[in-house]
Amino acid sequence: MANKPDKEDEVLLEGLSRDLERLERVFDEGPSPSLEEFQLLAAHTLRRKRRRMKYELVLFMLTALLIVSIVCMAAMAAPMVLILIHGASMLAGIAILASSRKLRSAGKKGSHE
Amino acid sequence: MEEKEGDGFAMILEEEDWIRKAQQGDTNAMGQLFKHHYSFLYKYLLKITMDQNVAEDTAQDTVIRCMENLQRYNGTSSFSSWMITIATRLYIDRTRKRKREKRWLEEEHQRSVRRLRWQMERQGEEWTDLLDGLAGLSEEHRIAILLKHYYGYSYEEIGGMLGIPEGTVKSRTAYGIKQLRKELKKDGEQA
Repeated sequence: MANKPDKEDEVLLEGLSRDLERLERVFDEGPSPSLEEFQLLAAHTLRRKRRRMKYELVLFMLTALLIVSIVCMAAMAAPMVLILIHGASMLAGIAILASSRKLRSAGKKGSHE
Repeated sequence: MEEKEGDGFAMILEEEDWIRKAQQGDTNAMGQLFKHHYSFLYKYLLKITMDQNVAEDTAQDTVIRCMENLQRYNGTSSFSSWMITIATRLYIDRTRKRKREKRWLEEEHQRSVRRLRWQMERQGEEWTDLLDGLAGLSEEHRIAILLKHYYGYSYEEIGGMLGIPEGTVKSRTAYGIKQLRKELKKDGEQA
């Protein structure tokens, strides 16, 4: 278990801080891109992010469409089976919600601020 | 003194303005923001990695990651703290992925430390036993000591940044300091 650093540790840590400050001074003029390069990087990163989000949205819509199509076809072929699955899923969802609320409130009691 | 405080306050306001604009997609503001913080980020990574090349690579990865996720920055910590949290986690992930190449990594780390030492001595600065000791620590102990005793974060903050319990941070810093003391005594006896 760590206690407050003792005197010997304080001296050591002060020495370390001084050495690290010297290290920082040596590398003060470290490699840094120019402002223009950062702005170009920002533009490129945001463009790439937007493209990725569009791709993910299209993928999501296609997947959702596929799932809904399968469910509709199944519903038309065997409506009772669908009703049973739907009912069972709803009950399972309610049970999971109720138990996760209990877990969350138990977690809040034990957590530190 | 008052002028410096005034300048500092003006800088904070300017930074908040950059952040707000950058979050709205202003690439000029985003560029200004990261240009302003890059040096701090690079020097932080240099200290935790003790490797100029890895520091530079990780700094670049961090900037890109921060740009992609700038919407998630909510101002609960300072921007520099948020940035170095991402940087630290990227570096830890990187070392974890490369654990299979352990022997090569150790040799490469020693080469990097020698390069750092050479750079310092070239500029007339001494490479002390303390710096040597710090470079010899494992990443997790080095990061904990730097964040606590150089950058001044609390154990709780460090735990939040690294995603580990506060107790683990305390034991890592204590162990790291103990190792440093051991190294200094060993070097003292050899001298």
